[in-house]
Amino acid sequence: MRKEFNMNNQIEHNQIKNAIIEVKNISKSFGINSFGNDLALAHLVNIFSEKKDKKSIKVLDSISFEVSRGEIIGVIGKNGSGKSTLLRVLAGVYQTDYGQIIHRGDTFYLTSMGFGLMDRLSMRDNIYLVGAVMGLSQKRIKDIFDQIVDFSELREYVDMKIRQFSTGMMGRLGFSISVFCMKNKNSEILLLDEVFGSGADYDFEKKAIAKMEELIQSGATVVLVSHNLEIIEKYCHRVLWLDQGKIKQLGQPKEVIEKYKQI
Amino acid sequence: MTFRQTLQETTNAFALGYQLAKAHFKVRNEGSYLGVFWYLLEPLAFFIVLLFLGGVIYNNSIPQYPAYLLLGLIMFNFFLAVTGNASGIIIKNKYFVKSIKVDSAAFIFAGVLQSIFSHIFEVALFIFLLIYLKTSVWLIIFYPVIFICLCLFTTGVAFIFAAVGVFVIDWGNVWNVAGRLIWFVTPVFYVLRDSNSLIAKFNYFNPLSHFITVARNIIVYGEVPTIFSVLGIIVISFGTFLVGYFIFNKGKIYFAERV
Repeated sequence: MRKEFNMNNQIEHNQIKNAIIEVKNISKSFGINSFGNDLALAHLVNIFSEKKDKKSIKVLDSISFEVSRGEIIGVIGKNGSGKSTLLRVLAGVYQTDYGQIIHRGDTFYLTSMGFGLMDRLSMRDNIYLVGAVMGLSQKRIKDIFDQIVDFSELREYVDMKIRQFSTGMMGRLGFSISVFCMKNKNSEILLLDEVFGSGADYDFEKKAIAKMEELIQSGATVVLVSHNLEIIEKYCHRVLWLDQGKIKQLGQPKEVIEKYKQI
Repeated sequence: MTFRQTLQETTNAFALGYQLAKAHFKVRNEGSYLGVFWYLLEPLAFFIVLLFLGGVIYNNSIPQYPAYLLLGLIMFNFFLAVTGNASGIIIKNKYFVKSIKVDSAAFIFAGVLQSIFSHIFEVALFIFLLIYLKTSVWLIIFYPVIFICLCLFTTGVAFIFAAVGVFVIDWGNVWNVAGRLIWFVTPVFYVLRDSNSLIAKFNYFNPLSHFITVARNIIVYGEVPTIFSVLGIIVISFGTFLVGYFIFNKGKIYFAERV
């Protein structure tokens, strides 16, 4: 399946011409502030004192690329290379310092499974709560409620408070809510940061990976950040390698991944 | 962004805020009706202590003092609860703010709605007090109108404090002290007799003092408020809400990278 998919990569990429995301020369820096600088007294003192140069670290440096409609682009790089920041900037969670990002479709950003679960609420209440946070209406959540419960295989615990759940059960629930909300948002652009892996048992993990594969290949445009190079090579049309906030290489998955492995 | 888009965005944030408030309400009460008791305990305890101080220590001559005191107390407590909660609300929800594109205004609305739930029980306590004092109860029907204005004003201040709380990490502590000081200078448990005093001059510019005075005049004393005071609280409430929301929206694009 993997070979078959890669053979089609080039053909599919050539067919896709229209850019749905345009990233033009973006840069992003973060100020390095000590804890004391954010205290009320420090702010007050700063008003009356001379302005000092603020220290900052450049996390993204002059990044430019385009993503075509329906394309799956993988982002790889070492920890701290700027992968997650790039995704947050694309999602609009962070603002850029310079440059421009043009989206020609609505985005869905997912960074981890199971965020926002409240352990003193029941599984049922958590599905409605996290679904609302992910932008679904209560009616929509009601419509997909059974699908979430059935996929998680936790129907008998639906009215139990999740503080009584094991880590694996939490993983199942978090994954099921995230995946079905993502599917039902029906967004044209999916920005996914390390979303493979639910933390549940082997059988569920297999099912979860298959479900994520199905979503990624559903025709949406996907920007996928992952340290799992096998997954990146298997699904992505192109791979963007980030190193210290700069694009080291952007090209065919096999070629980029081989070079990345050499260093 | 057009007015229509802003309105849609605000409506969505309010809807999410409602869901968050509902979840927090369930967590707080854990399905037990006894949880309601805790909403009443704090204002009741405070009310009894101040009633004792006002009546016994300095033997005040304020007419209908228990109703005068409790109404002032619950209105000011609502303001303090919402603004105190808002001061650290973005940092408290930083996992949401960083992990998903969510409108942070929802957290403010959730905080306001949670305090409204608590306030309903406090108002019920106030009605019981009016019945006990054999005072006219029907004037309470005017309270929702005054409360809507107080709510708008408080939400506006909460928006500002939530934004400030992201950039000034000890803002919660600063407000804890400042809020209590304002509580003491606002005529919650006493009456201002000398209109030339420094406190009276301060209260001229203190919106809470006007909200509480208008509410007391209507509900406790059955007086018709002046047009000036009614227009004043309407302008202050809507103005503060709009200014607060504007400041919050200007700042919110930087929240994710600051928390």
